[in-house]
Amino acid sequence: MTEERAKKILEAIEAYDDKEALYAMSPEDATAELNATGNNFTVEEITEAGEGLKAVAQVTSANGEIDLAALEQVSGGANSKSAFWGGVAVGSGIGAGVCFAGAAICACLW
Amino acid sequence: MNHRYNMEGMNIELTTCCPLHCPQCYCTLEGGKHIDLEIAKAKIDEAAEHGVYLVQLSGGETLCYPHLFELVSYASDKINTVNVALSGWHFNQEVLKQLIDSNVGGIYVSLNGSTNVINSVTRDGYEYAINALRIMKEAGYKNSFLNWVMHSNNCDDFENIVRLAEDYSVPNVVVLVFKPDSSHQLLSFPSGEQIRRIAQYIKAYRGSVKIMVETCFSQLMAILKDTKLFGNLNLGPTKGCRAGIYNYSINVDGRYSPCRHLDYYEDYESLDAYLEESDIIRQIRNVETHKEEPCVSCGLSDYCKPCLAVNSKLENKISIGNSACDLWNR
Repeated sequence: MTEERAKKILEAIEAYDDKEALYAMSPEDATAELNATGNNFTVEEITEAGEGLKAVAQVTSANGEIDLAALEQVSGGANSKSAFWGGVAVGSGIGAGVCFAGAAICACLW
Repeated sequence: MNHRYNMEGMNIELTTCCPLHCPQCYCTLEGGKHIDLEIAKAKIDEAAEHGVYLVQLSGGETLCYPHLFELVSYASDKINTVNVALSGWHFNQEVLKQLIDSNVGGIYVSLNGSTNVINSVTRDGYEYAINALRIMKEAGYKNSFLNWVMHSNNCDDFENIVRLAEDYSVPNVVVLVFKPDSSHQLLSFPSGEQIRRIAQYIKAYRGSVKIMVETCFSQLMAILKDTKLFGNLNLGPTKGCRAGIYNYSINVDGRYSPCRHLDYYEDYESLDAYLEESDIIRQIRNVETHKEEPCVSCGLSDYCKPCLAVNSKLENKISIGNSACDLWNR
């Protein structure tokens, strides 16, 4: 897959209005939902994007900063699929935004 | 800035004075002591050097601290966000104005129930909190937060708390995990079913209030971020307890500890020395290899790093585990 296509997929997820509802869907339903607005993603592509999101989630601090040095390490090397997706997510500025389903996190110290 | 370890958040215990007597309180409120202003300033300088972007000022009751506004002002010149927690005691328009003038990042008001009856089971000062919310609403203050600690006895009230936040135009509600109280008990820890129900409510909520969850409520985070589409996304630094790794605390005597809730206070000449040499910090860095039941057998084990104060205070050891949590029993 090209970087451009991967970026398009992540952008479509990021732009989806009710991310919570999207994340609660099966890969098949989520793909159909994203394709309803003129995309042509496959179920495999959508599923694969999750690998990148997990890699990014593992190296993102509470204020949304991403430890780039650690990204390659947690994603199983520079040539892994999750390193590819993680790199696209970070490079496109989407970063951790797509990872945070549910409530906003809060690094409280109370 | 050239330190081996950079940190993100620091808590300062400003005072042990407090006029309230909350049943859930974890503090040892003895002696009515305040942190020396110069020590607090020096710790803020040091935090800024270490990359800390979030400082939380707590107590005791922060409004008992005589140098509160000066310290907030000093800290906010050096740190991105400086927050203050308070009960509402002694809060008025003038206090709000002074906090705003000091560039406070956010004001966190503690409230565990939408009614005095529910609140008073675990907290004191219901009227003070409501009065503070009213004052901030009337002033149009936008950086208010409602700190709600989840117990087994108030979780059915959470919808009402969110509604109360809407009514008082409080933009943020923070869900906090119940940590061991001052007698090292955790008797009203919510059940797994209750935690799941709150997660469901948060996921479905579409109102004006931003519902936040503190990272150390890892059990709730692990359920919230468990998605059908991508699996569980509760991973990495934000998945749970950050004590001693991303966050640390300074107590009223100026001593270091990994967190307000981990009572291992140590004297070191600097934060660098503390992070390099403390045996407690070393144990915390290795804590993922010290996981105990019920967490070992829990299906959420890989996605949950619960508050370390639980086993520290209930079992007297640094390890991952929470015998009060029954999420393992799905």
